[in-house]
Amino acid sequence: MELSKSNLNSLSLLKKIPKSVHQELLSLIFGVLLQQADETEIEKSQSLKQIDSTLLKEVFSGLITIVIQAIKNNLNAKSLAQFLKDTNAPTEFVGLLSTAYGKTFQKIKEIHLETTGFYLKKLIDINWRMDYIIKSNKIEQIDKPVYFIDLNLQKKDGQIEKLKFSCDTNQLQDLVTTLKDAVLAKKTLK
Amino acid sequence: MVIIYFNNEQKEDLQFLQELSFEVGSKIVQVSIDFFKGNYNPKLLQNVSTKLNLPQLKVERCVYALSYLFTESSKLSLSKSDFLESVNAISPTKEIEECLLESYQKNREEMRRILSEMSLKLPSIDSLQWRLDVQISSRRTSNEAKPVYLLKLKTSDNRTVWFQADYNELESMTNQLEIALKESKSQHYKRIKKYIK
Repeated sequence: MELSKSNLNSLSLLKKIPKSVHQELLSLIFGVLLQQADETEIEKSQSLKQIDSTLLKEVFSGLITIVIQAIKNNLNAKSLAQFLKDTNAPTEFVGLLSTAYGKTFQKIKEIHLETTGFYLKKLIDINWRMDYIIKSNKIEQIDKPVYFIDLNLQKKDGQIEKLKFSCDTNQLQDLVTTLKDAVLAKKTLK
Repeated sequence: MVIIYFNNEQKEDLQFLQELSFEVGSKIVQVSIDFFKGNYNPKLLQNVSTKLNLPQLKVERCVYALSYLFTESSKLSLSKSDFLESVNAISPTKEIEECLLESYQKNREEMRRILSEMSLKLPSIDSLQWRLDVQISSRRTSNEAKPVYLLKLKTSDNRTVWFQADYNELESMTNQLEIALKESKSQHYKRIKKYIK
């Protein structure tokens, strides 16, 4: 995992923050990542308010970047701890950080990273209906079956789009054959 | 037995055919068939009228009445006897009658096809293309190995929809459509088909 110099620098800046505040800082960071808190928490906390704001900003952004990069690279708590040890971060802090990371990284991954990927509409459901056409105002004695197919597609933001089309028996047969081929392709893959 | 009824105006227009020689009459019948198929050309009507030395308005109205005859008979899929019975309303000569019947029988299938195109329908499926990919990484996550299907569906109203699906969804979609297909061979469907006929 690679980090920019400024991010690594933020780790050494930690030394300037009193140890008593470290835990609170970590709660803030993971609170923000889990979307349970935001930066206004800083105002509410006596100890965090007292820290120089430039310093706090640098450390805060550096730590958040480290956590997110770790998640992107699929590090577990142990490998993160190992990585941080090599960077001269204060040992006690490394321990606290990796423990908190270990408890929360799955959740953070779900919340942030998997919902911001590049995304086509996703198929989530299919409905079908079979009708028998008797006549219309233009032509009588039609006497043919018709299928109405309704696909539910979900966009990235959760909105559902419905795709409707009709087909006759032959077209449905072709469709089923095509899909069966597709399903078979996956089976031969693994 | 199904018969087409003409109103008095239409009867009059069709009577016009009687006054013509067979050749001329059949030409007009041909024009009305083309008219139905969509080749309506007002200039053509003009040319035909002048060439045959006939008043254009009468020719036009005759063509419209004939189109009505052919439209209704194709729509109802009239049998030969029903068609002749309907045509009898204007008491045509034997030759005109034969000419009309021949045109009807020759063009009936195509006319029914045109009518069903004009009927109410939802856009139908043109094609479905698929591609199986394995998603490896993206800007925010790496080290994945998720199989994902890319699908492109084209419908008859020229819409192309792209979407993705994972294996489970695709399999369940296939199963559902297979069930749908089996319905067309089920007892229930066969019974309904029999009762409606």
